[in-house]
Amino acid sequence: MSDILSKILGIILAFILLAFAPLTINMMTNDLTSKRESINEVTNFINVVTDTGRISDDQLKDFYTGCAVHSIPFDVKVKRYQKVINPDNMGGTSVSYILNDNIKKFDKGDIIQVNIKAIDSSGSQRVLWQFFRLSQTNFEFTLAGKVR
Amino acid sequence: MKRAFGVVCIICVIYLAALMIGFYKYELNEQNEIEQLLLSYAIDYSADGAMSEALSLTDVGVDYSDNNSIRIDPNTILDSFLDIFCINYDIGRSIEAKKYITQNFIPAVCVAGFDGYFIAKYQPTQNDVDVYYPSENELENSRWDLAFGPKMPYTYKYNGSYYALNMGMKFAYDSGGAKYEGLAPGLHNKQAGLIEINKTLTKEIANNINYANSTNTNWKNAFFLPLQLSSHSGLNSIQGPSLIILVQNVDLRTNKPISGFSISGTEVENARTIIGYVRNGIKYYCYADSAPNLAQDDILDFFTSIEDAAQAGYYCDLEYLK
Repeated sequence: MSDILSKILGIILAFILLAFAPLTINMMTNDLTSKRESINEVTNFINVVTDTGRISDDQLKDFYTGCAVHSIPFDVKVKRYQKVINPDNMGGTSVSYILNDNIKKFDKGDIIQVNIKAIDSSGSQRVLWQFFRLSQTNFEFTLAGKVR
Repeated sequence: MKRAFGVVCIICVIYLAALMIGFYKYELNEQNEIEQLLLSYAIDYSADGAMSEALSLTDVGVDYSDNNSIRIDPNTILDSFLDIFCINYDIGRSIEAKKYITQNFIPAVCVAGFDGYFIAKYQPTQNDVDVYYPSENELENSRWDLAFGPKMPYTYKYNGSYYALNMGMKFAYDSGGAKYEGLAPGLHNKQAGLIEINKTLTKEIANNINYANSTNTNWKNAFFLPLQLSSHSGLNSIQGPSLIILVQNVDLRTNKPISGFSISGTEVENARTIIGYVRNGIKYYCYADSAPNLAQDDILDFFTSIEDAAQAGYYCDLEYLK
């Protein structure tokens, strides 16, 4: 009787070690690559915008496509914080940044903020949830640069 | 047979445990790595933005004969840095948030100018004397803030006398205030002078970090100072006005605090002007110094970059664009 039990146990263990583990490790590596690639996409984009101060439609489309081709689907938000200087009533000035919807053209001193958020679970997240009920948070980050 | 199978099963279980620990470690490292990368980008972008802000806001005092002398205002730089840093981490840019960042994450800021440097340290800026419950320790009742001190010279000691260096290395001042033309004595070339400046900055920053962590019981008197700053590597990146900023123990998105560092520098370069003109009825652009001989009327526009020229509808003139 115990022989059968241990055989079943052995088969389960063999499955985990031979099929599940390589699968998950592979998926995690893929995830890491796509995270890195998305960070690179964003930094490239921010560098271009901070240097030139404008975003053309083609550039924006390229950027969205670049972020969409990785194994995790990303939602991308590009925001423009326009720099505004007003007098504070103490003889000086105060700098504030207001959100502006026009992201085609940036003025000097504006800040471009790019927010990237994974809208779906990645492969490794699903596998870990199915087997172990481990839930990981979706990948998300923000980067910003100042237009020169 | 049974026993042998049991042994195999136990080995499998041990493997499985190792696998789980491996997963956990991998996950932790991965997150740490990504956050470290993002932090370094955030600091770099913030420092770059702050530096450009400082140059655009103040009268930078650039002389055409002296490319390196730029006046910079340290307080604008820090404020601007914090603005961009907050937006990088998507947190509100309130005074409280900025204060939280300066109090917890920034042990040292150094603004290196042409002939001196500013260093910001966490220090009492104002004394609030409590009338009802006066404290025995005056420092307890004061407000603390990351504040810049006075401008300090790049001192250099040779044969018992002190000299104030600058990044141009065309002249120096001795301790009596007299101007000393040429390189200061004991320096054989410009690079040696820059090494002295780098040494001064490195020491001052290291001191400052020590001071900032003086109440930290876990402090081991060690902070990773990157290679760019140390003079032993033979690589001196501080050759012009720069902003050096250290960010430590950031725990905004990670369980384990992470640290980062950035040097942001500016260098004034002689820009090549782009001119836009009409040749053979077509609008072209090329660099002004390699332009063909044109009649005054043909030159239509001046640009600072080829992108701007293309944006204005000029095509590159391959014959003359060199």
